[in-house]
Amino acid sequence: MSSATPRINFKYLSQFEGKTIRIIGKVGEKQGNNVILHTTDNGQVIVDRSKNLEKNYQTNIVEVLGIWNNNQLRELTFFNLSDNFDFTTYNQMIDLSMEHKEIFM
Amino acid sequence: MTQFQLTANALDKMKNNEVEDPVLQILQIKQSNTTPPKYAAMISDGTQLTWGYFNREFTQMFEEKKIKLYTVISVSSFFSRILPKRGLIYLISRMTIVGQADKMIGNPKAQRQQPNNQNNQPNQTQTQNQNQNQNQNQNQPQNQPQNQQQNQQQNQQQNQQQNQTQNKFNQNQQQNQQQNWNQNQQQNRSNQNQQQNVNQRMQRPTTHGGEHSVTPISGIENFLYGQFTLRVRVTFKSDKRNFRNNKGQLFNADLIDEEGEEIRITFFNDQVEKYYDYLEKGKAYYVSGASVRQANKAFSPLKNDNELSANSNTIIEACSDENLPYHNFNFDPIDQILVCNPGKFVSVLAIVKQVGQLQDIPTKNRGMTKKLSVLIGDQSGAVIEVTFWGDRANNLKIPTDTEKGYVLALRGSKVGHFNNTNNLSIVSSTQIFHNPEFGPIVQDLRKWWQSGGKDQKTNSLMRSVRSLPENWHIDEEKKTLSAIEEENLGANNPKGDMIFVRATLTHLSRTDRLYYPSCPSCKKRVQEQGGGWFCFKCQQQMNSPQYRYTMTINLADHTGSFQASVFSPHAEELIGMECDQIRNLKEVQGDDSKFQEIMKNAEFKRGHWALKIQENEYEGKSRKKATLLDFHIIDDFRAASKILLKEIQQYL
Repeated sequence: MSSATPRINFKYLSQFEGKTIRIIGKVGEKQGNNVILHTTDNGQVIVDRSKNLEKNYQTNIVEVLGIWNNNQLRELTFFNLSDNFDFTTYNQMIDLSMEHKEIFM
Repeated sequence: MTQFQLTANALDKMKNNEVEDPVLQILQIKQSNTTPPKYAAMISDGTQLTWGYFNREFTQMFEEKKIKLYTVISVSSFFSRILPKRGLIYLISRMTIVGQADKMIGNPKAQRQQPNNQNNQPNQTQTQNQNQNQNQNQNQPQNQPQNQQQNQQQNQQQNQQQNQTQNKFNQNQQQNQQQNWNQNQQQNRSNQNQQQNVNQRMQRPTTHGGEHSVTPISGIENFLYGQFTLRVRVTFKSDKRNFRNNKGQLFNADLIDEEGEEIRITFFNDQVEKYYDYLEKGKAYYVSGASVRQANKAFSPLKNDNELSANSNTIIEACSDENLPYHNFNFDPIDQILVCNPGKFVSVLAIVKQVGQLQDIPTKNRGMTKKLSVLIGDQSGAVIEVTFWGDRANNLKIPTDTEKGYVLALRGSKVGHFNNTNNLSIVSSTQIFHNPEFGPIVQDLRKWWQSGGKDQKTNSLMRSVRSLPENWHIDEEKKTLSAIEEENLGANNPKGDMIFVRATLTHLSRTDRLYYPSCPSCKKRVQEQGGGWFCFKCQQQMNSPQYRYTMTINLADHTGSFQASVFSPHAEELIGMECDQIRNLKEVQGDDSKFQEIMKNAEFKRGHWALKIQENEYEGKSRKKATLLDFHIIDDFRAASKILLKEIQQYL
């Protein structure tokens, strides 16, 4: 059984090329099968939803679980959060968890 | 190999203080028999040799062979001395190593005692008793010309007259001579000597006009028979105390010299009469002829290993206080005081965080005294409790609003140990300063207070239960439930120890009594009696009692769990219902399912809990029990996360 999928934000994406990750963000513009996700650290991620198009995002802020490859996040599944999610606190948590990986990953 | 250059004629020039930072070479090295040992060495300027005695601070350099044969040094501060056997030597108090030479530089010969050639008039002294010539002169560094003492000179009178006008320092010799004269009276052998001394005395000026040759406190152990003069300020004067069943009396004074060194002097019996009123705290005096002994650290807050005691030969006279400091504190940071060995005295500079209540405490002799505790904190981040007693407690006027930063400086407070931690007590010899103006150290303390010190969480370190600080759920350190046993809370404090935890209420006991019938006035349990209810404490009968909650809850975190008792008003908050209402539901209406639902809703709440832990004996075993003092359920995760992040930052 593999360990849990790591939660990251925009700046750490480069460390996870080809890996499955979770990322939280605000739902932005739609471009065909893609959606822009605005991350908690002000990054923009292109989410390729082609494999999951039947399900729609239902909140303004979602967590997307997918594979990061070639500057795109290929969505496997997502989770509705709230419209009211605290970006600052969450972002601090991501930074702390990346700084102290041994506890979290 | 680099060639070292020694200062030409340094040894001659040093006599008159005509040279700054002379460069000299170390030749033969000797070690004293004391522990720790002190070192002396022959020092050479290339043409002459003499002995140099090195302060304790240099001992390590000798031991580590940083200073050894042929080392070249530069001396920046020294005192001269004439020793009976060795003649003129120097006490080296400050020096630096220039380098290590591999051979002797120049061709120095042992220095003969030479008269001071400043004005072609020798400075001379009178005693014939070479072995007991204890009249030692010390120079104030860099200022006055140095004196030399010669024995058995014949031209004293003429020279003395001249010296009085030319060399201020001679006058001190006369005064020291007087002491010497008193002490050596029986040992003067020749009439000639007596004649000389008589003449000398006739010429002696009054003591006011004179300038003394003064020893620094750090140098007194180099003197035999205590024949030194100190110029000091009195920083502390104790009250007179009786001992030996009121047969003897004594008092102490603490003295500080120009270098900031301190020493205590004790006056006994006659000396008390002589000097108690004369000596004033804050004023400066010449002190000479006191005897030296080892310090009794248990009674003195000073760091000096030596102490003085006044005797019949002691002379104390008021003098100028120029350049004498007022205090020398050696403040210790609170985090060190918390873990040091109790029983010693410390000085501390801190800000008052909390002021306690004035309490009446019974004393051993069936009396009562006042007690007042305050909590103080400093930049080390630690806090400690300071207890005042008696009049000092009564008269203590520290505002309870500590926001602005009330600075307290304590000199010589005693470290005690209670309840698994150290504390400070104010004793009779403790000096207390309120908002003192000590300069930068106080300013730094205030700056720390204003820019976060006052908001800093205190490490609760088993503070006994007093009042719950208002923002405890944000400010106080949260521990785990396992800490209750690990830190043995409640064991040493019958009133209980406080602990703050972040935990989940997992269970509300349904089997244990949830409420009890109570007396409305005293809250005690009432008994059913004669159709009504009776309170034994108030001796009152009533028709129906007031029902009050007495809940037991189970708290759990990742380290374990603990049961706590919950009373009003917290119980109402947890259950969400008045006691009467829930009793009604349960007993009168018998609606069990609704009751269970209400209980369930109260469970599994995450929160911050303030508990009081007490230990009592139950069936032969000591057990800890917890009482809920306050709680905050974490429903606002955002706020709770921010608190948590703040706590995490403190660890990083």
